[in-house]
Amino acid sequence: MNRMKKAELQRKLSRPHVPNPPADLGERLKNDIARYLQPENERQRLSRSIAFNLRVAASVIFLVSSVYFFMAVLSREKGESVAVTDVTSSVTPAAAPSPSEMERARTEMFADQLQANTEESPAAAPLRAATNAAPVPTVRRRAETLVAEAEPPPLPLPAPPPPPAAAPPPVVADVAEGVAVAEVAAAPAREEMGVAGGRIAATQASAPAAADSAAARMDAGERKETLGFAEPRRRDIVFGVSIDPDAFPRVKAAIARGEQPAAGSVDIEALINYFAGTSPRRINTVNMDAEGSPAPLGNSELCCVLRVSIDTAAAPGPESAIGNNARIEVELNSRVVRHHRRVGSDAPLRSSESLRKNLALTVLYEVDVEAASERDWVAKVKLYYRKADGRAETIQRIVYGREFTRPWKYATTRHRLASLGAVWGETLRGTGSGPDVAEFAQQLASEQPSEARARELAEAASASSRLRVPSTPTGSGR
Amino acid sequence: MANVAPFPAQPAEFEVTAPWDAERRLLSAAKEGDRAAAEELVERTYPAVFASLCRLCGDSDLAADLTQETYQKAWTALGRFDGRSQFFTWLYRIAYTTFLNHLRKPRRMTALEDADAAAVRDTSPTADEIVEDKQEAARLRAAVLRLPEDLRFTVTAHFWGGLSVKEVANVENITTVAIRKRLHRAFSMLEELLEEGVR
Repeated sequence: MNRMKKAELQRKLSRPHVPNPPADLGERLKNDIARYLQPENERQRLSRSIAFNLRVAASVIFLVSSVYFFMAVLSREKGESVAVTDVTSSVTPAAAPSPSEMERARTEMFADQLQANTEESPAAAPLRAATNAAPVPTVRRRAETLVAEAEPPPLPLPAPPPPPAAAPPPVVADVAEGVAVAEVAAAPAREEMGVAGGRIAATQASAPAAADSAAARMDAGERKETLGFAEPRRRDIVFGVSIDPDAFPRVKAAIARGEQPAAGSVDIEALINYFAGTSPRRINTVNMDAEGSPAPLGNSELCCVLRVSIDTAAAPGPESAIGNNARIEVELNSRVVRHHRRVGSDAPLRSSESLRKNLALTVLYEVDVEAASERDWVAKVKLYYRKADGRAETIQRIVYGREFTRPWKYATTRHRLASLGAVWGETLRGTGSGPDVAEFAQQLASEQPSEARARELAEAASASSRLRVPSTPTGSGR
Repeated sequence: MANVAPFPAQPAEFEVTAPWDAERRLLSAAKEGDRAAAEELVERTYPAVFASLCRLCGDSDLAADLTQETYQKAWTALGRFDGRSQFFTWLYRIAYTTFLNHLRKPRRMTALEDADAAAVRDTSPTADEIVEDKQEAARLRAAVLRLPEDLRFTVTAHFWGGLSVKEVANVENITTVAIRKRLHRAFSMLEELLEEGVR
């Protein structure tokens, strides 16, 4: 091949022009991270459990095969011994074993087999050790199921053995799929975490008559929370969620004057939205993001935090509507979510018509997640709306259990700021731990030096922690 | 005036680190489950992965789907990545395998061996030279895919994946001299295949 042809071929191979990636490809890839990325220890644990399951299954199959083989051999021997007896009975009747002796021998053999089966199999021993050592309820629950599978039931006599037990069930076989969705109607009928003296205790909300039917639906395992977009009477309230941008400056000014802000004047929802800010990447017209994590402070009763953020395209000019008939649906898996509440407000959400541009909205939920494996879904968030051209659009995000088992520090910056802002807001209202918030905020500010809101929060939290702790908290957030 | 807390201590200046070190830190964090680190890795690599797959399959929509599948596999297998090569090199290998698996699946798409595939798919009116360019690209792609596996991977990794000869040698576990020989052989075969296609 001459040089010119080679050069020409190289040029052709190097030439192909490719289009830019689709605008939403990056978001799609990032949304898959939560679902597919497993920390190292989880992978090792998963591979160990799979290997163990395979060993147990192999043991069971081997045992059953052995029993079947013995029975086949014995059946053949019985047939042969009877024939021998018939043929030789006239010659040496005493030499051939009698049928009763054969039966006794077979019974003894079965008894031996029973003994072997009912003894704890070696495979179960490490499982018991793992069960005793496992700190996570999910692992313990799974191990209990596997212990039952490792010890097959005794074989009945003289019937043939039952078919082998099925392979150990998948991780969540004993956890049926369920949906828990909280009704947020005129009166909340769900269990709530009330606030009392710095500790968050579970309380049962009183259920008015209108909510009885909702409670019945809850018992059936279906509780739905529907958030709607609101056409605001004020610009700083969107579908019932406060996004007042002046909330933080007011608090900051009070602290600067040396005053602890009054509990009733602290707008927690607005603080959440202030510190959550806008999405760093607003490529599409409407974006939705959902994320979960453990609570930021270990000494709080707050178990876990679920964040839902909605951002619309940033565009200059008047804030016109880019969508309408919008509503959000938040489904919580009742199998793994025991309690939940919206942070910062008890007021019911209003449905709304329009979805304007330059919108950045964040809602936080406090959720009590229990016995959720990494692959369980905890929350499904859907946003329905109609575009300006009338086409219906749906955006869905799923939050899995693994997000709630990873350390809080691995959550996104936006999530950490929003959750710290929430905790700080509750601190100002008389609950929570002020110095811890300041410390966490300062760490976050050090990690993200370019993040101005992190510095603001660190500074304000430090300042407020030096002021006197206020009096009693109040219930409302606005 | 209130005793407002002083501004937190100035953070340490950003140290200038080599991309390799930064990538290693991101990978370590991602292996621990750090979502932000994983997102950063995505931001750094997905355009190149998409471009490689686009050159392989010639369809941007398909390339987007394969890119997504590639990353899903990558996250699942991240624990097995030993870090001897760059992250993108490892990703490219996964992307290439994903593309091959897609080819082997029964599908309704027009076969890539069809030299008129590009023209058939593109129904909008275009300039003659653009159509001819697309047809030529389709022919070249079909010819590359007909190469033996070792030559095919070398050519696509080097020219369409952007991997250097050294990186390809690292992936294939052979010397750079062997890679250059492969390229030489591949060019000879491609010339023949292209001439066949023209005839």
